Amino acid sequence: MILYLRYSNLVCKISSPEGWNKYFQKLYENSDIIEYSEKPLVSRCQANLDIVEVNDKNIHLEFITYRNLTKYTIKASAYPLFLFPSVHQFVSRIFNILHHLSGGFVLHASSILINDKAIVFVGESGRGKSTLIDLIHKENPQYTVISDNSAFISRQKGEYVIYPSPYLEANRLGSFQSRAVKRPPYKIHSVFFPFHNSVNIIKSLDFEDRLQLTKINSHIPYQADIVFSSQEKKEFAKKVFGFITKVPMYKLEFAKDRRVIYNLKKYVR
Amino acid sequence: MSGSKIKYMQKKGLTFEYIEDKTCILDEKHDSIITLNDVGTFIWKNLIKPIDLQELNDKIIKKYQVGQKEAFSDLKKLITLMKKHNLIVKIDAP
Repeated sequence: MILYLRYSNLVCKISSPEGWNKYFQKLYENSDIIEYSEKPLVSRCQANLDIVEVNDKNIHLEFITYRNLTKYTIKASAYPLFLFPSVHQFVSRIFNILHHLSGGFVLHASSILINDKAIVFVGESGRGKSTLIDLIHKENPQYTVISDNSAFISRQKGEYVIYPSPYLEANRLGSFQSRAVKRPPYKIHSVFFPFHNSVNIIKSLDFEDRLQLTKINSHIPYQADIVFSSQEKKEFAKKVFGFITKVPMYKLEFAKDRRVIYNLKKYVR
Repeated sequence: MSGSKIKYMQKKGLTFEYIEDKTCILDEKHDSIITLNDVGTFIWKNLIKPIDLQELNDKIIKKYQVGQKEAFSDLKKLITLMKKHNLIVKIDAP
């Protein structure tokens, strides 16, 4: 069956096995920024995703997109997908690619609005992204949690902004009751790279550290099993370069107590 | 002074940003960032058009009031580094 998703300025036409529309519909219902349709959507920038083979072990994808009149194809394999978390992973992968193609990038990060300022915690699993969000939100339930695991970042009018994930994340966001007071995107105030410690210390990072930490925590093109060309990687490096030179970035060593919130607030005035 | 006939300038198409008194340059070849301090930034800004090392050295001495030999030695080191990272190109002087 054929279905269409519009994300930002990009339309993705998806050819999928029968029954798959329910997964995408589910996404549509939960997203402010994805448009779902079974009728054709039109955009100057179109990507075609063909699910060419599905079996019980993995899925083979062929992702064809057109940009600057250049057609290119990305072939990839994804994890088993018949159980919900796996479908979820697969779909998240598509949106990561779409966001990348529409000029943005996706980081492994949680984020929260503190007094209308978006604070982003970037890090690998186990670094404390969710712990920090839990700590802050427990203490300040009026703050809006933007994302728990993936930060969709774009540049708009010279500023870096974050969108909530277009897909459900790890079923955790439902536990946060606060609602955004204004619609996304949110301007990014600062980025923290968390590390567990017994004390709370916040340090500024030099640009090389910013680059390396941002790269290793990006969903694509460095960490996915999707092969990007060297040109794609260069484009990505340029995007990240703008981000790390414009947005304040810090190393956040923290103990699991309230003092980390006090420390953070000093940086978010 | 050796090398004074050869001119250098910034390679076109590089991604860089001035941040306060520093300059961050994306080194695409090595996938890293080169950060120049205030003196490096001064040199980088002068490399926007072709310039020979002698002329560049004179500008550094005038601005920072340092010894000629010391300045030239440091300048040569920086130029070598910039060449290694493909940040500048050599221009044949007319």
